[in-house]
Amino acid sequence: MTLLFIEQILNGVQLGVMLFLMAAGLTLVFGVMGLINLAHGSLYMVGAFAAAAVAASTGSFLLGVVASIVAAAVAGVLIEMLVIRRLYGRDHLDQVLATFALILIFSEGTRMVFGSFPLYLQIPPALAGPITLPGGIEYPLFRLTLIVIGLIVAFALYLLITKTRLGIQIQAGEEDREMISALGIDISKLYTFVFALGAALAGLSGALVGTLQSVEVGMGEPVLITAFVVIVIGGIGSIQGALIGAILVGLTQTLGAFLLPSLSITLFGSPDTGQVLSSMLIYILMALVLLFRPQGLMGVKT
Amino acid sequence: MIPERLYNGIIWLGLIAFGLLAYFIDEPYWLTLATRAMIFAIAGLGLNLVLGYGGMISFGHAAFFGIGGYAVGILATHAQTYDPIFAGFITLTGTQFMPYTWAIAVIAGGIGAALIGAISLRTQGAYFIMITLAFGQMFYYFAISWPAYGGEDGMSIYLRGGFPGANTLRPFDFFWVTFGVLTAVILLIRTLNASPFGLSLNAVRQTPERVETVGISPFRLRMTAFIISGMITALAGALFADLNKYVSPSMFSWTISGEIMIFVILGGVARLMGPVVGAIVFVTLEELLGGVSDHWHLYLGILLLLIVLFAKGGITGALTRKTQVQHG
Amino acid sequence: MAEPVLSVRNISKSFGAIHASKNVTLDVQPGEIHALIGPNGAGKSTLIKQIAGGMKPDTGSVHFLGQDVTALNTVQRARLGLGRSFQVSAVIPDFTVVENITLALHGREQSALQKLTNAFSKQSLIAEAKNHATRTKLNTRLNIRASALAHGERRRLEIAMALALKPKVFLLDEPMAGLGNEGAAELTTLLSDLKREAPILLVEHDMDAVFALADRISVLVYGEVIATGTTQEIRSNKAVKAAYLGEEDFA
Repeated sequence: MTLLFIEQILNGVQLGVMLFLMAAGLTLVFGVMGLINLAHGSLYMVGAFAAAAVAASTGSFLLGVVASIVAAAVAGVLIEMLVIRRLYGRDHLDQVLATFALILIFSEGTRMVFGSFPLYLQIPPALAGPITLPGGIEYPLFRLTLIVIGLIVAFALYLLITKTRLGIQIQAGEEDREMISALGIDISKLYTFVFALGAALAGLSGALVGTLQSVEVGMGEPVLITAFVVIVIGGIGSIQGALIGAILVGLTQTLGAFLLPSLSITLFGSPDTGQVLSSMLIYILMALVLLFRPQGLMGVKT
Repeated sequence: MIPERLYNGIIWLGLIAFGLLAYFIDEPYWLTLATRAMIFAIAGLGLNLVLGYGGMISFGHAAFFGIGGYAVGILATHAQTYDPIFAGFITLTGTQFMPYTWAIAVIAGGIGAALIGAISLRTQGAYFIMITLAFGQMFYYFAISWPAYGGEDGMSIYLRGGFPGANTLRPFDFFWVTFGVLTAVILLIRTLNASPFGLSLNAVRQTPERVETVGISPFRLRMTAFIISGMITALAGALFADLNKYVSPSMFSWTISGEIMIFVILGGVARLMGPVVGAIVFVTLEELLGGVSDHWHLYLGILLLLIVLFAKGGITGALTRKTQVQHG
Repeated sequence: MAEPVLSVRNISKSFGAIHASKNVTLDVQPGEIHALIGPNGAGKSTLIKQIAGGMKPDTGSVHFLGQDVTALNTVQRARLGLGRSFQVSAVIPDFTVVENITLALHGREQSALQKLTNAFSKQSLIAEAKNHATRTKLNTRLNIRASALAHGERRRLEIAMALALKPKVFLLDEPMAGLGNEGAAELTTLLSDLKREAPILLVEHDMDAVFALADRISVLVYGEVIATGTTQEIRSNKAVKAAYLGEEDFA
């Protein structure tokens, strides 16, 4: 039981770091440009499809992962320059509608190219199979790799934002949009970069999670909505909040699905109540956070 | 450009004419399509109250649409099996009597809206959008994981609900029943919008701090609008369940929330007949383009993008001039 | 002295290291215009917010008509009769002049969540709305949208909406802001007329107006009231002079 429990915690962390890759881009784009981007899930999907296509034709998983990052970033730059750029000054309704329209276009476009059947990404042989962790826990090596990749990305993002010139500019953009133009920074380039960065992270997470599940049209939106839950919990605009929120949501989701059905069998003799409750758990968590801290855990009170 | 009142009248009379025409040239499929459009219009009218007049961008109205549908589905299932829903100090039995199922759907939608509103209306802007979207998704997962009423498969309603004096199984009769509901909802929205409540709601969209200083609580206004809106959209969901004789978790899906929003945007935000026109255009496009190409969502996406970027005000905005009322 | 209509007692409010209000005490007596002046950044807006209900003080209390209203929000204070106008006009841009004033009337009548009748069907209400428009010289602009009004007209619409509330005290936040000399003079006449209906707490930058109108003046500097007194007393107050040193508009 304990071993199983630790394994579930690791699964929760793994889900959490993947959610973080999605949430980081969303929250950065919102923080710097004030844009709510529903099409972020489409970039996740683009990454997954690019990885699946490239891995299938070259036989290399690594090339597939690189392709996911490149393809999502390129798609990000394209839509930023063609559409998103026109939305920065607009109200949230326009942003929601235009990016919703982008979802329709991306989903249907992908369906035209790849068809409606799911694609599958194979876990590379070097990462297949379980690994024995200290304490004798057998854990899938690939999932462990995802955790490591996620943490590396989180750390790299932290370095980028706190230690580099570009990061200072991004922070300045979050604080005060007028200030960055006063500093003589090319805002339009900065915005495109931030958007592409978010897109690349989404694409990467699409490829990695797509390997665990399947790659299909419509895969991005449920993740997008969960990422929204993450940033509402963490506080919109805060990268730190996104990380905390993501891990919290990942753990809640995984442990809820693990514990509640069996608890429900003990209490009511059927797993049904537990299953229903566990499917709603992260939203209940979000509601609780909003009740006690409407601005999110790391958000600044306005 | 024509006055908006004339335009509204033309749309309303046009629906009557269409119903009669389809009947006399014997096209029951047209009647069913028009009924579908009118049901979508009702859902859109509900959303327009909060989105258009109240300025609250709810991306979770599928929750209410689904609640209305499931209310009808659950009541019908119990009516068909003669198995009471609840037996205890009072006994609740299933029913397929439309006025009754509508009432339950509306009440359930109102309760759902009160719950979602109590949490989401404490926030504004981007938070509100994300939270309503998330709660909509919560209901979707709830419906999927709830085995008692079909889980992922949903529920079939073997017989459409009944309405006194109408044989709802005939498309012609169901068309008029739906038309009657639509007309009632349009009149309700018009009355609300012209009342002190509507005046304050329109004000709170623009300058909430002013509404506060004249002694009206923006939260109470928004909450009231949100609940009424949820009720109306639930009513649409109830009709939709009877139209399809089937309910499934997909009624709760986020794409439904997006589509309800499209009805409002296509037709014209904060215009009385905007959602009606939007729903008619949506169903027409779906039928015409969906018949020619499997990828009609692509065209829908492009159309939506063009409207947002270049034609705010939608179809109603392009065709009418807003009636400027002179008071006194 | 009579029982004050509005009294602010020992209010303090700080944001981190910044003390926006330091132990502020001030009252408004029946029938008077009490002006609150102070250089930019003195904490006037913060104080106004705490009086109107948009912000809670850290310590201290606000009393209105003998009742402690510190715990009440903006809506509740407005219902008790606190009529506020904004420094930056906060009228409803898409509404016409009549519609804006009617909104305030419905606020006063509390009809927004109670009646489903047409908002403009009651003749007496519309007549009253026009009356307020006439008093603020907006009678020729009744059906013009607020967004199309000139700046000065929008300032007067602010006042008209406060008037429509029939408040027990007016809280006017820089009503002269951005008005030319002529506009300011017109408004001065209107305000001196207004004080017969209810006392006014006037936050104002325009010193001519303040000295022409005010019965008493309080001077706020760095969150603190450094002096309260008649116009004569304030004019000759050394601390006030020092605080305003270099500010040309201090007469």
